[in-house]
Amino acid sequence: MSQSSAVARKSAATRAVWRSLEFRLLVLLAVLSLYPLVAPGRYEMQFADLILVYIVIALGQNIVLGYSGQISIAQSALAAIGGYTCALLCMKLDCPFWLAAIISVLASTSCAAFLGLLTSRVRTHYLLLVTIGFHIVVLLLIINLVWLTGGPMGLYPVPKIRFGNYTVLTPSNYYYVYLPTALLLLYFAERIRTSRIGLAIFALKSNESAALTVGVAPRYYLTLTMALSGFYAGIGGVMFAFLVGFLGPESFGLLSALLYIVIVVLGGMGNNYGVVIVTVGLNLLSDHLKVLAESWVMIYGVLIMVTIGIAPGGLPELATKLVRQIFRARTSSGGVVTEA
Amino acid sequence: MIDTIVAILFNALSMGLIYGLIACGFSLIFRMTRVINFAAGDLAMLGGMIGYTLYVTMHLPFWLALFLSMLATGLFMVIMDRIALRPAYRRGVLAGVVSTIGLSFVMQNGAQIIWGRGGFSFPSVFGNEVVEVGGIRLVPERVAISLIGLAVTGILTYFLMRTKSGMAARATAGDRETALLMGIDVGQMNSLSFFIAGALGAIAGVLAAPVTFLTATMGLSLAVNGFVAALVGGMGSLPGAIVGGIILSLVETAAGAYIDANYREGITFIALIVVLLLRPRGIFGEVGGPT
Repeated sequence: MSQSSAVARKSAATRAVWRSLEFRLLVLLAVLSLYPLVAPGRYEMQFADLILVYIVIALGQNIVLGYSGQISIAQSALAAIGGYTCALLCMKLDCPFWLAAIISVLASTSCAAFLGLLTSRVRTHYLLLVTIGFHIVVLLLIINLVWLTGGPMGLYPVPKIRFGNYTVLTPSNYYYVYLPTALLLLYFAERIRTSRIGLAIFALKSNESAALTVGVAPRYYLTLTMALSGFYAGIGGVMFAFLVGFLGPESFGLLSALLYIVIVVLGGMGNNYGVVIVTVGLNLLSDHLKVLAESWVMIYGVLIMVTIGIAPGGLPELATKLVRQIFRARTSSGGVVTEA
Repeated sequence: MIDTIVAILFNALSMGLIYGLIACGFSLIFRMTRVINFAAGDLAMLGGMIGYTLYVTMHLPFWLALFLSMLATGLFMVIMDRIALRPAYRRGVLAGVVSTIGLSFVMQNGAQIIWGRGGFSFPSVFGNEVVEVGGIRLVPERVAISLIGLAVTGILTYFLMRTKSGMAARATAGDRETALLMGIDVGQMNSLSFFIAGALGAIAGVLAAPVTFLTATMGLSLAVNGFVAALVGGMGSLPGAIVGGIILSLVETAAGAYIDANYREGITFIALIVVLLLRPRGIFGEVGGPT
């Protein structure tokens, strides 16, 4: 301190840059964009794209379940609304992609906001029930409006994404579109978390009466979180539709909706990085352990129950606990205390 | 004309009582722990599956099979409460609800592993041939379901309102600390509620099985109807749960008959929204009670 304060200030400033979210995500972007160079093949590339899609949808689930502690099962249905709207606009009306994407994300966002508004007078379980109902209705519409959605046979071929004259064709092309999108949305989610809005939402979750006394309006914020989750789901749905090229009701089943809940719970409710890591991890696991395909759902169920029971902070909390335990065992046996 | 109406009424009543029984189990657990039991429908599935194994595969008498299935499902629920749900809902309602979602996963997939992915058609116990009684044509199955449903509701109400354990359970649900001070074994009452919820689910499952098809994934749609029935009647109110179930089933039957049958399941959702907009606490929901 007493030495050159200018140097100290400068190093503090550099440290701040190093530690800033923007810098970290840019590094992540740079590192991850090398993946297509080392990817073994087309399948792996396509798989990486799909994981990015799931990450986007899961981040939306994290906003509603993790940030505000409300249980919504609408994530899949909202993604379906986004995906189907965008695909139909492009296929039937020859809408340019960017316009169709904006319209469909608006559609899913406003549907979600409506659900939030409807249930914001009452708490947790109404949203759960209304969103299950919403899911059922959306799937019924998809299955029964055969002239529009293709019904159970599905909707195909969904065209590739086009920006002007450039068509995004190969899986690695998609990767370079989806990776920045996903990271941008991750950045956005992190920014929300630390913003006034995020603080208000977390305050509502931890103590509603206390939040009320400092002027946080529950109705507004609960609707907002739902709208945000719809925004993420819509983008994810559009990404899914144009990546896979096929949309069917089975892509948006209730099971997939519940899986986003699994991801958020394991990722540690409200922890965006946790959610990203768990999404990647679970996808890789289920891809590699196909032997267990029959009992995956059960494993998810057990994982949820165990995690919620012993570590509500999810796998990140579990991991830190474990590390701390090992560390403590070491220091007590070695007698060397290394406090940083 | 009149006999069609009676037939429709019995159809609606039988289905409504099944929803109502699920809603009752759901309300019991809700009152005790404030947790929405997402696995409520899966309990019915489990009960139905066990009932099928005992009644069809092992040729036990129907009533014995029903009784054993109730016992098994109830015990299953008590064990699940002890080892998995209780640690969760001690941390708050949200954790509890999420934990029951996990339980639902486990039960569905477990049932698929044990009983296979295909379904069973449960043979009709009381006969599904139309019988004419005094000029009114009735399906014995539906009448039997309605009667059993009403009887179970009666017994449950008597138990909760008149017996000592029932009153102790209600006291625990009302105010845990005070109940503890009065010398009530709160943990035991908790387990009792879970047991009853499981047993009610099993009855609903065994009764529903001949009417619907028995599959490992049937739980969710039953649960959704049970939830809506409980909400329509008012969360946590037992008569409300039964009335809610019957109203829901009437609406469903009418919608199936007059609107498009393809959208029948969606009707539940519309009913839920109407209730939410008009009377968020349900028909029997007390003012200032749980929302």
